[in-house]
Amino acid sequence: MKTQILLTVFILSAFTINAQKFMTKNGYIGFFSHTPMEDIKGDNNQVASILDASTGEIVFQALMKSFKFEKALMEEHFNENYVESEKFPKSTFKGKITNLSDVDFTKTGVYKVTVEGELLIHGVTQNISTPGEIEITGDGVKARSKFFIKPEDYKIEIPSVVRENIAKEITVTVDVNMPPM
Amino acid sequence: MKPVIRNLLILVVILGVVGGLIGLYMYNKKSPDLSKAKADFTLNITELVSEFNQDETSASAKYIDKIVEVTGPMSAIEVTGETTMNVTLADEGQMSGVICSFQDIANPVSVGINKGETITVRGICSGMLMDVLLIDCVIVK
Repeated sequence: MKTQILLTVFILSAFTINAQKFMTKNGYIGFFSHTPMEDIKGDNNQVASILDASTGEIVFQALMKSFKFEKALMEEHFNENYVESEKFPKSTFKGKITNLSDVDFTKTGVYKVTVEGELLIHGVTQNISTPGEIEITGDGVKARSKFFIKPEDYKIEIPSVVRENIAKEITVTVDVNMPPM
Repeated sequence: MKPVIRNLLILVVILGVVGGLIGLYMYNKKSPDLSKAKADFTLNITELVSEFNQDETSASAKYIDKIVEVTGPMSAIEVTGETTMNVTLADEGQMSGVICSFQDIANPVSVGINKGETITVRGICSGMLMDVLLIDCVIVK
C-alpha cells in the first residue's frame, strides 16, 4: 500500500514537472517593413521556443537563413548585406513573463502578458519589453506578440540607395504553438 | 543624322531596354524551384545530423545554402504560420532530426504523406538549431 501511494505521488509529480514546460520547433516569427516604395515580408517557420510555466522564462531561437521572402533578391540582400547571416547565423530571445501570476495554466483562455528580455540580432543584444498574449488550449500553450524594432539598434546598416525602401521601424510578429514537453 | 550615329543610338536604346528587363527580372525573381534541381549532397538523415553534431562549424560551411537531398522516417507533420508545412524526419528515440519546410502547402492531406513513412526530401540547408533545417523543400519520393 505504502509503495503504491509513493508510486502514485511519484507519477503525479513527474507529470506536473513535465507539464510545466512547453516547447515547439515549428514556431513562426515574421517581420514586415512597409514603405511607399515597397513592402518587404520575411517569414521563418522553423523557430524553436521553450516556455517554463513555473518561472515564466521563455526562450526563442531562429536561424537567419530560414527567413523566406517573396523575392529571391530580398532574401539575398537580407542575408548578405543586412543581417550578415554567415557571421551571425542565429537570433535569440531570452526573457520572462513579468506578470506570470495573471496566467492560469490550468484554465483555457487568453491572457495578456508582458515579456521582458534580451533580444540578440546581428550580434547585438538589446533589452526589450513587449506586450503579448498567452493562450492556454487543451493541447498546450500558444504565444503571440507583435512589436517594433529599429535596424540601427542592432547595427544593421541600410545603404542610402535603398534607405527609402526599408521602414525605419520593422514590425516583428511572433506566433508559436507549444505542446507540453 | 549620320547612319553611324543613328545606329549607335538604336544600340544604346536596345541595351537600355535589355538591361532594364534583366534588372526587372532579377528584382522579381522568385526562390528557386527545387523540383528539377540537382542535389549537391544526397544522404540519409542519420549521416547529416551526426555530421552537424560532430562539428557544427565545418558541417555548416559544407551544407549551408547547398541543395541537400535527405531520406528518413517522418516523425511529425505540422502546418505552421499561414501556409507552410513542416515535416520532421527523425530516427526513433533521437533528439535531433531534420525539419523540412514546404512553402505554400496549407494542407498536408493534399500531399498524401503519412507519419511513420520514409520519404526523400530535397531542400536548401539553412543550418542547425536543435535540428538540421531545410527550406524550399520538395518531395522527391
